[in-house]
Amino acid sequence: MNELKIYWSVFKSSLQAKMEYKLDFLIGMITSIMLQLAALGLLWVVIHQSPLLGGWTGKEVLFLFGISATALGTAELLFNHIWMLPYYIVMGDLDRLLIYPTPPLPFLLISSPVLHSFGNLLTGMVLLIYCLSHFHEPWYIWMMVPLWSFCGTIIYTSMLVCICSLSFKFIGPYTYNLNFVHSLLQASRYPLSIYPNWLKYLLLFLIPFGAFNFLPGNFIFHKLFGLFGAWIAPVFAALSIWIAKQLWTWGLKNYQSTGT
Amino acid sequence: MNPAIDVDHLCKTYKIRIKKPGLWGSLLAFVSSQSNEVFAVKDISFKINSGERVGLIGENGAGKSTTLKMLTGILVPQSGKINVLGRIPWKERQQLALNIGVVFGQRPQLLWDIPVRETFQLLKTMYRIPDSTFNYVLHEALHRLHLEPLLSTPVRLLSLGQRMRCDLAAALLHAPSIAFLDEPTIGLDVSIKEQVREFIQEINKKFNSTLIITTHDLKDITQICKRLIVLDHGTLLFDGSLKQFENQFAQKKRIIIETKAPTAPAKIQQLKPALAKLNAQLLEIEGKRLVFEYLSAKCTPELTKLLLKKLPVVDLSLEKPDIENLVTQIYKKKEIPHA
Repeated sequence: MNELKIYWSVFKSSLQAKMEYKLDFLIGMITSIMLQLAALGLLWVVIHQSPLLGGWTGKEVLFLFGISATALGTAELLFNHIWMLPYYIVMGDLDRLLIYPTPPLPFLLISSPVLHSFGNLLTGMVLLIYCLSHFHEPWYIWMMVPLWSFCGTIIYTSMLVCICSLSFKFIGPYTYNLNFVHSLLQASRYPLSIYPNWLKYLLLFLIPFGAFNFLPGNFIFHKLFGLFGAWIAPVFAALSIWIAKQLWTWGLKNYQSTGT
Repeated sequence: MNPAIDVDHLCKTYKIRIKKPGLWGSLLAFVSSQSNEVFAVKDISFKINSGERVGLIGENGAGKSTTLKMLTGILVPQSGKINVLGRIPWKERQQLALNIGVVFGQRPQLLWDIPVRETFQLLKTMYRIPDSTFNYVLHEALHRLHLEPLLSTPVRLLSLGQRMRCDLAAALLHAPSIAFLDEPTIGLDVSIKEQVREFIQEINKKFNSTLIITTHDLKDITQICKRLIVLDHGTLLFDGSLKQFENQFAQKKRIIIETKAPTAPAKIQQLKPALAKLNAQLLEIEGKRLVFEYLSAKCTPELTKLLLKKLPVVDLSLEKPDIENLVTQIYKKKEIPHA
């Protein structure tokens, strides 16, 4: 409980500090919304050519876009500092977190929210609300959507942590590996059925972005996989937290710090 | 009573990949697994009792910081045992952290975006600091380190000196049983250094905490510490009180004389046997200035007499090396001069 209180006050203070930069906030918001709109524009072009995309209609794909955008937005709001983690490891800056009586990883992740996350959150929510009301989805689907989206945040962040933990041993600020994970998240905005098998299975099992996106979508629109599709997301979320934690603990033992 | 810190045959090596120069070398290193093991700390043992104030010195790369990082649980030792306050640091790092305070002079510790005042409040929650302790240390810090005007500034905007003072206050806020201060006065001007030392002494006196200080400014040590540990290339060179250190090495004294005219080398050759009898030797000649070094204080009158008789002396002074000189000598020679 004490720890949650600490995380909350770190988060709150950092957010307040960031809010001071109003112009930065505004530009960030606009940029992230533009990026989402550009992707939607591309989707519109594709749908115009062939009305079905891997068996999905354009409006159904909007659900996938929405979940991905909100999951990304929440991750950027809560855990964005993950992008700095490789530098912390390589430059030896992790030292300063290791002297505190709090677990260093959550403390690090929460300590630097970015405000342009609100752009992604906003776009994602608009898309989800539009899509779900268009198909007249029942109330329990509306209740499940935040859960799926949050599982997405967890799975996405855990995958990033896994990659970062590797830089303890194989020293080098490999943010391009993190970019790879980010690109896969963007790829999960389209139905996985359009991809070649290797990518489909990669996104279903190894880096399971399909679990909170494609499978629940199938459950809603195509009545595929039954309840499995609805409830697989929390299972994968728990599993990826566990794996991330193992890798992180392993990495920390190999932490070399620097000479100073 | 168990010692606060017990270090037993501690070793730590770093793996350094063998790499040929250039881009092609980098590519080769990527596939080859050749690596060199370099000792950062080599078989060090010492015990520190609670309430002791210990200075840890050594040249750059002597293993000071690595030792501190193992004591605080940041690094895992290669071999050997460490016990700090009854805990194994790297295994029980978080529990240990509640009772120790750490400053890394080379690295800012406070969160970047948050104002100093909120950082202090955060630490209060984090360490569950009782109001009385918090208020006392904060008051001392505000008063002695002049932090009052900095409280509402975000850490990011502080100057180096300001940040160091805030870091120090933050590290001692929970009145830790042991404070590890790694170069707490680095890059500070003389008057701020003085304030920092006074603050450290005040907190130490009030809470009887154990202090471990590494520094390159020996004034930090002579003013605060009672005991000195000297490391060199990862090994323990000296461990004992400051007094012992001085007694052991300060027996070598110096006479510095200035002559009317530069002394001819032949004349010096003549002097040599007489000097040898008194266990003295000519250390350096610099124009008219001659420096002699000798072992025992008993020889002072004899040697002075000899020099006054044989050389056209215009000025003469005696010098007992201070700690700083001794340490420089030790670094130069890489060995302890015999006692």
